[in-house]
Amino acid sequence: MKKVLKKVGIALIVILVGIQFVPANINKKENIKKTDFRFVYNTSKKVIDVFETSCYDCHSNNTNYPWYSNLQPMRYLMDKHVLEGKEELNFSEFGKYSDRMKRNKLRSIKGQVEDDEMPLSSYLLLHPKAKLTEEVKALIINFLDSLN
Amino acid sequence: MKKYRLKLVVAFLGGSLLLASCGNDSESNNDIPQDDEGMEHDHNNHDHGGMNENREVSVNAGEAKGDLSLILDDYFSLNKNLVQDDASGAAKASEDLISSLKDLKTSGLSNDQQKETDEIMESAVENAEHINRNAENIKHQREHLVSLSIDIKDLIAIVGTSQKLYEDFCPMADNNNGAIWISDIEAIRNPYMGSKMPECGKIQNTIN
Repeated sequence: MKKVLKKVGIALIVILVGIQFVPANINKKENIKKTDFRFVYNTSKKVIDVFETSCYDCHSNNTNYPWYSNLQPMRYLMDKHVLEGKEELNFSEFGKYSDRMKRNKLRSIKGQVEDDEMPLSSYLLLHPKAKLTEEVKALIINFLDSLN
Repeated sequence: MKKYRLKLVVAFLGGSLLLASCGNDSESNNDIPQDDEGMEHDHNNHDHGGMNENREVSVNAGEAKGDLSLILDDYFSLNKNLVQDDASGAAKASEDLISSLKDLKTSGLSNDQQKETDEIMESAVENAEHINRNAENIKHQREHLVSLSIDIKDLIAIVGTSQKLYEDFCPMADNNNGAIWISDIEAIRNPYMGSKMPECGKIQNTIN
């Protein structure tokens, strides 16, 4: 029994070491493009800071990678989140959306923030600073309402 | 050393579980309980009927520039499911809607109309995809119905249809922001409020 456990343990370690070689995506472009959300609307620093802290990791071309992002399988999962997140909403490319899509995205952002659907709770576990307090939520919602 | 290894393994696995926890499963394939049109409650004629009657939405009442009937059928079926609070039925209907949207053929559109149609399509498909993926979250489905209904309304305005349709409005929908939907029946069947208030709303425009 003990032997089996040992074998399983070794196998696990081999796998874990092995997957460290899985290539990782890098979602990082230092320059902020003209299509960035902050240039599309008249955005206060306060508002854009909130978006950057709480949303940009998965919804922009600039992810702020934490230390454990260098380890697999965390990086793999993170890459997947970033890919899916950007497909849904990309603050860096916001200016490229059609007016109709911009309106949809703004509506969705508001809905997600109001209902505490975003940021994801799993993300908040590792990024407590990203949590939106009621005060910050009100700031964001007011800002979004002002755009209509 | 052994202990350290074990800790490492636990940390890895714990971390992966944590990150994996936010996937959303969207499988659900209940059959759609089809609503029977016959079950009409008498639709009380709202007193504001006279005020904004027959404002034409369709700008080109003449020749239709494409056949919207499949899209509209799927959209109506989606709404029927939402009226009945059936999120998985709505998800299924939106899947049909996605394919009928993608199948639309148009002709004789001006460049501007073509551009707008493309934008409507992009938006409508995205909204329908969200409805499709949220078979367990009817609130989210209804949020996307708000934009989807605007897409459908604008699409009708460009492409045209010979069907007699109604643009309904409910002031309480979308967290009291108010929202429209398009219907092929005169009776109000509110997809936003569902069984809570199925008759909330009024006809604000007729098409054809």
